[in-house]
Amino acid sequence: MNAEISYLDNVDGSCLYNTPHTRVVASATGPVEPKARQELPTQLALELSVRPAAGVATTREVRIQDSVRAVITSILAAYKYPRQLCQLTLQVLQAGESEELFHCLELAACVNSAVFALVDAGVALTALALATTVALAHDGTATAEPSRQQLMDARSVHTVVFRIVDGKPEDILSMDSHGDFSEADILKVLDVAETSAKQLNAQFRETVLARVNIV
Amino acid sequence: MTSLVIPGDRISVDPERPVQLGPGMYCDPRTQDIVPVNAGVLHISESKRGQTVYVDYDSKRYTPAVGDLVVGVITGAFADSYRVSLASFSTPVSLSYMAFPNASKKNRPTLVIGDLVYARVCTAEKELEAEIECMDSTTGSESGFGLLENGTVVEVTLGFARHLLFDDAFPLLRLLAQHCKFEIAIGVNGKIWIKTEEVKDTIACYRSIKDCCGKPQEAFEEIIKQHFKTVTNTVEE
Amino acid sequence: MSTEEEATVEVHPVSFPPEILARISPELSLQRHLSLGFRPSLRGFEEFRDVSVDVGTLSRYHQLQDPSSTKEVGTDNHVLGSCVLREGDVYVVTKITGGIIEDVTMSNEDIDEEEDAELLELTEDHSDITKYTSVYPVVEVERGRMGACTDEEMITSQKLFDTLQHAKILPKSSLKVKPGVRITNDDGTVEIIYPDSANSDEVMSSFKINKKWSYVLYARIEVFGRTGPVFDLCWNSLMYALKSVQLPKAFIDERATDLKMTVRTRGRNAIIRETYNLLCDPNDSTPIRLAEKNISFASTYGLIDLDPEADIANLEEDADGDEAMVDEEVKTVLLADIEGEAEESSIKSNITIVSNADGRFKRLSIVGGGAKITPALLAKSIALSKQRTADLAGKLI
Repeated sequence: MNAEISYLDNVDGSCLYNTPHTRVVASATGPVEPKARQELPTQLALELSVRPAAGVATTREVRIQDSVRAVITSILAAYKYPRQLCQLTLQVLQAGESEELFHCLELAACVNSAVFALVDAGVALTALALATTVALAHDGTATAEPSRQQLMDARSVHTVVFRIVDGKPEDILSMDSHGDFSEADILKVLDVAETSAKQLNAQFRETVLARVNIV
Repeated sequence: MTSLVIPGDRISVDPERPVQLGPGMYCDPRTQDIVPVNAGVLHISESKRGQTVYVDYDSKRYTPAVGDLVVGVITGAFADSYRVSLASFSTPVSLSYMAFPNASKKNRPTLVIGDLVYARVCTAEKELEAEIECMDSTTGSESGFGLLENGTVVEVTLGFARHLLFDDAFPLLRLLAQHCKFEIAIGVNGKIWIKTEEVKDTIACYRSIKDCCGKPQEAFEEIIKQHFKTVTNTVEE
Repeated sequence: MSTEEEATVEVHPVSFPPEILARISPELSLQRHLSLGFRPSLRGFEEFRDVSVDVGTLSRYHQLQDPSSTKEVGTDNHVLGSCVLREGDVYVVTKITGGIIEDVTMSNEDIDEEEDAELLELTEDHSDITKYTSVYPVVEVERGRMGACTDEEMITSQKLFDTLQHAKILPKSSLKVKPGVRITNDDGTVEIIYPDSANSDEVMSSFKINKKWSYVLYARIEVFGRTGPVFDLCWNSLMYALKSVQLPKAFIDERATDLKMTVRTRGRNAIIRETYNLLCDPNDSTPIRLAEKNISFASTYGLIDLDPEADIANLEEDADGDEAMVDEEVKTVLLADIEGEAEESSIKSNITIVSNADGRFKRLSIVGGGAKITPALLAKSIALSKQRTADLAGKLI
């Protein structure tokens, strides 16, 4: 994983998020003045749009949007900005997976890039959220950040998002699993995802530290 | 004590004594936990009334806070106040006609839409529209606030603007002064108004400030020299 | 300066009947109910709503049980499989229709259909995801008004599509069209010979059909009287409906099997194409072949922290005391099968599980953010989902 923070000039916060397979540009603007229909009397409204790597957004992107929104709303300090709006736009540059069958890599990249962009924009967050994708092969081996082929060959695929509090994965914010798996597999996946989230968190800190030091 | 924090990190404060929270800190209304909500440098200091905690972080979007000195653009005029924009797309703030020196019912200020003002934030409640004033309300004097005529506005990050305004050791203004004469008004909302005698100096200052934003202080001198050299050469050609 | 007496303000407690409290403060109303040990719907925490299903009655192949009736119902519609599912007060009507498309990406290496079917049985656990397909669902949640589809409808449809694809229930091979041939005998009678009918070999071998076709299935799912999340209802309804699908047999007229047409392009007559006219048999059909062991059922669970302040027991006991239960450990309860506005809006953490009869999972979705999801609660919901699946699977014909 590597992320280029403040990648765009004209928005409050942005990030180009790269994994070996997936690339996403995220931009965050806020808090700004909402349209009347978006306004919430006591908290920050979130407008989120996900754009696919090719073509126009379909129900598939609406679904990714829904999952990302659930994660982001639970980490935003929304009551700090009553009657304000935060706009998040996530443009997938490279899906890294077969788009008609999977959405897990894009979902994970969207969550992570959105968090980077929000941190860059200085929108108040009560915790971080970091997502990882794990593929379980037929022989039971778990691979974090699988490739296109590993996804195709997998028995099940899982995207897990952890809430990171005080540098450690504290609880599960979201899990999205498909395929064929058992109860033991779930625990195994959570274990692998947690290790992977710890690594991501270390890289995240490094990236943010570099940004803070520039100033 | 200073250290890097990231949203959600635990910070150590003495729970027995009163704590004052500054920018970048948040007290969860349900659990009463104190957490940093921005990524930046954590400052915890002891004051007479207790402990003060804040996070120094850089961003581009300004949210009004009482006492801030800001540069705003008049975007509307109402019966008793102006509407002023401190940052594009943000909720505008209001500037009352009574918040000018020597203001009275009959004596209205003469600002028009598009004018720039240097002002101070006097109320900033998150649920309400923020208000700014163009005078020192304790003395009633002008104190340098008011209309900014001519000149140009440079937009920089908020952290950079704060350094420029509060850090006396920050070398940028001194270096600029070696090249030309200028008037400057620095708003912590990331807008810097600068006026010089000649257009070429304005251009050079504008480019220098823009370029120095986000660069280490050692590089400033070279950047500024380069820009002034470029404009001087262009004019002579 | 005001005196002491003037400064005192008398506060009158306001009380509301339960149904009004439920409207103005759903969260408080829910917490009050939970503290008494049941839910606003008067169900227990881990109690599901009862499900009744009526499978296949809307489809064209449905025969009336009453032999005295001469009229066949449904023969005039295009529904291949259907299910009317009732859970509590919610009705979910699923109608599966179909179409036929020509497979354009055919290669010679394609395994023969018979072999393919055998392979499927053997390697079910190791099968490739590309060998399976899904149906195209359109979910419609009726709200008594027209308009563009809502996000919920789009998201549910997409989830159904993805889940069915990944659950590997519908093999592509079972949607292959095996066309028969309509022949006109010497005596003028018309007969349709299908590959699976007796002594078809001699007839079939005389016609060489080069093209291949597949069925595609569409599911139209209508939800009436929505009271909560609909994914589990739609999925279960889709499962029953899919099980009842009968694919119509298709045939080609013998005169069209080797039709050659001269196509004139830019003044040249060089290109010759063959065209087939595939027709569907109005009466004859075959049941769809599904990967039975992957058929699975969905259930939803909500997790919510009990708020000690809303506990009615506490309210009554210590009218004077207040800090008695400050450091009490937060108690989280698991509610099966979320129903009602109060539960839906107040419960932020939920788990959706799709599992089959063998206790294997096909989909697991966790949304956190509210109550903390502990392994113990996850295990509990998994155990409940197994019971629920066993119960629902029993309703399959």
